[in-house]
Amino acid sequence: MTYKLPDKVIREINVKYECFFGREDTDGWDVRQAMNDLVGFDSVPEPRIIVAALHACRRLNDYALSVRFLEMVKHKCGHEVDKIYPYIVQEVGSTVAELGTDFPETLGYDKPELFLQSVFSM
Amino acid sequence: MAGEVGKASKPQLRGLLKSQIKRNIIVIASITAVIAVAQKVFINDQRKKVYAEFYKNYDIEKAFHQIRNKGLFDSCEPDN
Repeated sequence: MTYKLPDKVIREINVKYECFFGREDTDGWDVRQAMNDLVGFDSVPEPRIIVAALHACRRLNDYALSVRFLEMVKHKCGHEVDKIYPYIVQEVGSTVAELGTDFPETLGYDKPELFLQSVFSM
Repeated sequence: MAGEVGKASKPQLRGLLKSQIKRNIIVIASITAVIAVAQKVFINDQRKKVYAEFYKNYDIEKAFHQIRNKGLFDSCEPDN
Protein backbone atom coordinates (compact mmCIF):
# COMPACT_ATOMS: atom_id res chain seq x y z
CA MET A 1 0.00 0.00 0.00
CA THR A 2 2.77 2.41 0.88
CA TYR A 3 5.66 2.70 -1.54
CA LYS A 4 9.07 1.67 -0.26
CA LEU A 5 12.18 2.78 -2.11
CA PRO A 6 14.19 -0.19 -3.38
CA ASP A 7 17.34 -0.84 -1.37
CA LYS A 8 19.42 -0.38 -4.49
CA VAL A 9 18.17 3.18 -4.96
CA ILE A 10 18.84 3.99 -1.30
CA ARG A 11 22.35 2.63 -1.57
CA GLU A 12 22.95 4.66 -4.72
CA ILE A 13 21.79 7.85 -3.01
CA ASN A 14 24.06 7.19 -0.04
CA VAL A 15 27.03 6.49 -2.31
CA LYS A 16 26.28 9.60 -4.35
CA TYR A 17 26.39 11.87 -1.30
CA GLU A 18 29.38 10.15 0.21
CA CYS A 19 31.28 10.62 -3.07
CA PHE A 20 30.12 14.20 -3.39
CA PHE A 21 31.54 15.12 -0.01
CA GLY A 22 34.75 13.37 -1.00
CA ARG A 23 35.29 15.58 -3.99
CA GLU A 24 38.29 17.88 -3.86
CA ASP A 25 36.89 20.71 -5.95
CA THR A 26 33.59 21.56 -4.19
CA ASP A 27 33.37 24.90 -2.42
CA GLY A 28 31.38 25.98 0.61
CA TRP A 29 28.25 26.54 -1.44
CA ASP A 30 28.27 23.05 -2.91
CA VAL A 31 28.87 21.38 0.44
CA ARG A 32 26.07 23.37 2.04
CA GLN A 33 23.79 22.48 -0.87
CA ALA A 34 24.48 18.79 -0.34
CA MET A 35 23.89 19.12 3.40
CA ASN A 36 20.61 20.87 2.69
CA ASP A 37 19.61 17.94 0.49
CA LEU A 38 20.36 15.61 3.37
CA VAL A 39 18.11 17.66 5.64
CA GLY A 40 15.31 17.30 3.12
CA PHE A 41 15.36 13.49 3.22
CA ASP A 42 13.15 11.65 5.69
CA SER A 43 16.14 9.99 7.33
CA VAL A 44 19.02 10.54 9.67
CA PRO A 45 22.17 10.66 7.51
CA GLU A 46 24.19 7.46 7.49
CA PRO A 47 27.32 7.62 9.65
CA ARG A 48 29.47 7.15 6.54
CA ILE A 49 27.96 10.25 4.98
CA ILE A 50 28.41 12.21 8.20
CA VAL A 51 32.08 11.26 8.25
CA ALA A 52 32.51 12.29 4.62
CA ALA A 53 30.79 15.60 5.27
CA LEU A 54 33.02 16.30 8.26
CA HIS A 55 36.08 15.62 6.12
CA ALA A 56 34.72 18.06 3.54
CA CYS A 57 34.36 20.70 6.26
CA ARG A 58 37.92 19.99 7.33
CA ARG A 59 39.13 20.47 3.78
CA LEU A 60 37.30 23.80 3.60
CA ASN A 61 38.61 24.86 7.03
CA ASP A 62 34.99 25.42 8.10
CA TYR A 63 34.75 24.53 11.79
CA ALA A 64 31.39 26.25 12.28
CA LEU A 65 29.83 24.27 9.45
CA SER A 66 30.88 20.96 10.99
CA VAL A 67 29.32 21.84 14.35
CA ARG A 68 26.16 23.06 12.66
CA PHE A 69 26.01 19.89 10.59
CA LEU A 70 26.22 17.73 13.70
CA GLU A 71 23.48 19.84 15.26
CA MET A 72 21.37 19.15 12.18
CA VAL A 73 21.99 15.41 12.50
CA LYS A 74 20.75 15.48 16.08
CA HIS A 75 17.69 17.43 15.03
CA LYS A 76 16.88 14.90 12.31
CA CYS A 77 16.54 12.20 14.96
CA GLY A 78 13.18 13.65 15.90
CA HIS A 79 11.41 11.89 18.74
CA GLU A 80 13.88 9.01 18.80
CA VAL A 81 16.84 11.17 19.84
CA ASP A 82 17.63 9.01 22.86
CA LYS A 83 17.87 5.89 20.73
CA ILE A 84 19.55 7.23 17.62
CA TYR A 85 21.89 10.00 18.71
CA PRO A 86 24.07 7.88 21.03
CA TYR A 87 24.56 5.50 18.13
CA ILE A 88 25.60 8.39 15.85
CA VAL A 89 27.98 9.76 18.48
CA GLN A 90 29.50 6.33 18.87
CA GLU A 91 30.01 5.90 15.12
CA VAL A 92 31.20 9.40 14.36
CA GLY A 93 32.93 10.33 17.61
CA SER A 94 36.33 9.07 16.58
CA THR A 95 36.24 11.13 13.37
CA VAL A 96 35.12 14.19 15.30
CA ALA A 97 38.05 13.82 17.68
CA GLU A 98 40.50 13.07 14.88
CA LEU A 99 39.50 16.13 12.85
CA GLY A 100 39.54 18.41 15.86
CA THR A 101 35.90 19.44 15.59
CA ASP A 102 33.31 19.26 18.34
CA PHE A 103 29.81 18.10 19.02
CA PRO A 104 27.38 20.92 19.89
CA GLU A 105 26.94 19.39 23.35
CA THR A 106 30.64 19.86 24.12
CA LEU A 107 30.36 23.54 23.29
CA GLY A 108 27.14 23.94 25.27
CA TYR A 109 25.13 24.68 22.14
CA ASP A 110 22.40 22.20 22.95
CA LYS A 111 21.14 24.51 25.71
CA PRO A 112 19.64 27.97 25.18
CA GLU A 113 22.31 30.63 25.05
CA LEU A 114 22.21 33.73 27.22
CA PHE A 115 19.43 32.35 29.38
CA LEU A 116 18.87 35.30 31.66
CA GLN A 117 16.58 34.98 34.64
CA SER A 118 13.63 37.31 34.41
CA VAL A 119 14.06 40.33 36.69
CA PHE A 120 10.54 39.69 37.99
CA SER A 121 11.45 36.25 39.32
CA MET A 122 14.75 37.01 41.02
CA MET B 1 28.87 4.48 33.35
CA ALA B 2 30.77 1.71 35.05
CA GLY B 3 32.09 -1.17 33.00
CA GLU B 4 32.18 -1.76 29.28
CA VAL B 5 29.38 -0.08 27.35
CA GLY B 6 28.48 -2.49 24.56
CA LYS B 7 28.41 -1.09 21.05
CA ALA B 8 24.88 0.01 20.22
CA SER B 9 23.29 -1.75 17.28
CA LYS B 10 22.17 0.30 14.32
CA PRO B 11 18.71 1.75 14.95
CA GLN B 12 16.19 2.58 12.26
CA LEU B 13 17.49 5.72 10.54
CA ARG B 14 15.09 5.98 7.60
CA GLY B 15 11.41 6.65 7.36
CA LEU B 16 10.99 8.08 10.85
CA LEU B 17 8.68 10.88 9.77
CA LYS B 18 6.71 8.49 7.59
CA SER B 19 6.03 6.12 10.48
CA GLN B 20 5.23 9.05 12.76
CA ILE B 21 2.66 10.32 10.26
CA LYS B 22 1.15 6.84 9.90
CA ARG B 23 0.87 6.52 13.66
CA ASN B 24 -0.70 9.97 13.97
CA ILE B 25 -3.27 9.21 11.30
CA ILE B 26 -4.27 5.94 12.96
CA VAL B 27 -4.58 7.53 16.40
CA ILE B 28 -6.55 10.50 15.09
CA ALA B 29 -8.83 8.30 12.99
CA SER B 30 -9.63 6.05 15.95
CA ILE B 31 -10.26 8.99 18.28
CA THR B 32 -12.53 10.55 15.66
CA ALA B 33 -14.45 7.30 15.24
CA VAL B 34 -14.96 7.01 19.00
CA ILE B 35 -16.17 10.60 19.22
CA ALA B 36 -18.51 10.12 16.26
CA VAL B 37 -20.06 6.99 17.78
CA ALA B 38 -20.42 8.72 21.15
CA GLN B 39 -22.07 11.70 19.49
CA LYS B 40 -24.53 9.46 17.69
CA VAL B 41 -25.46 7.38 20.74
CA PHE B 42 -25.49 9.94 23.52
CA ILE B 43 -26.70 13.03 21.69
CA ASN B 44 -28.38 12.33 18.36
CA ASP B 45 -30.26 9.16 19.27
CA GLN B 46 -31.14 10.59 22.69
CA ARG B 47 -32.71 13.67 21.12
CA LYS B 48 -34.66 11.55 18.68
CA LYS B 49 -35.93 9.46 21.55
CA VAL B 50 -37.08 12.52 23.49
CA TYR B 51 -38.99 13.83 20.49
CA ALA B 52 -40.51 10.39 19.79
CA GLU B 53 -41.64 10.05 23.40
CA PHE B 54 -43.26 13.47 23.28
CA TYR B 55 -45.16 12.77 20.10
CA LYS B 56 -46.12 9.19 20.95
CA ASN B 57 -49.20 10.12 22.93
CA TYR B 58 -49.59 13.68 21.73
CA ASP B 59 -53.18 14.54 20.88
CA ILE B 60 -53.01 17.60 18.72
CA GLU B 61 -56.81 18.03 18.73
CA LYS B 62 -56.91 18.22 22.49
CA ALA B 63 -54.03 20.66 22.53
CA PHE B 64 -55.82 22.79 19.94
CA HIS B 65 -58.99 22.99 22.02
CA GLN B 66 -56.99 23.76 25.17
CA ILE B 67 -55.33 26.73 23.47
CA ARG B 68 -58.59 27.82 21.82
CA ASN B 69 -60.49 27.83 25.12
CA LYS B 70 -57.85 30.06 26.68
CA GLY B 71 -58.81 32.65 24.08
CA LEU B 72 -55.38 32.74 22.45
CA PHE B 73 -56.46 32.25 18.83
CA ASP B 74 -57.56 35.12 16.63
CA SER B 75 -59.62 33.06 14.23
CA CYS B 76 -61.50 30.70 16.61
CA GLU B 77 -63.80 31.58 19.56
CA PRO B 78 -63.58 29.77 22.91
CA ASP B 79 -66.41 27.45 23.94
CA ASN B 80 -68.13 29.57 26.60
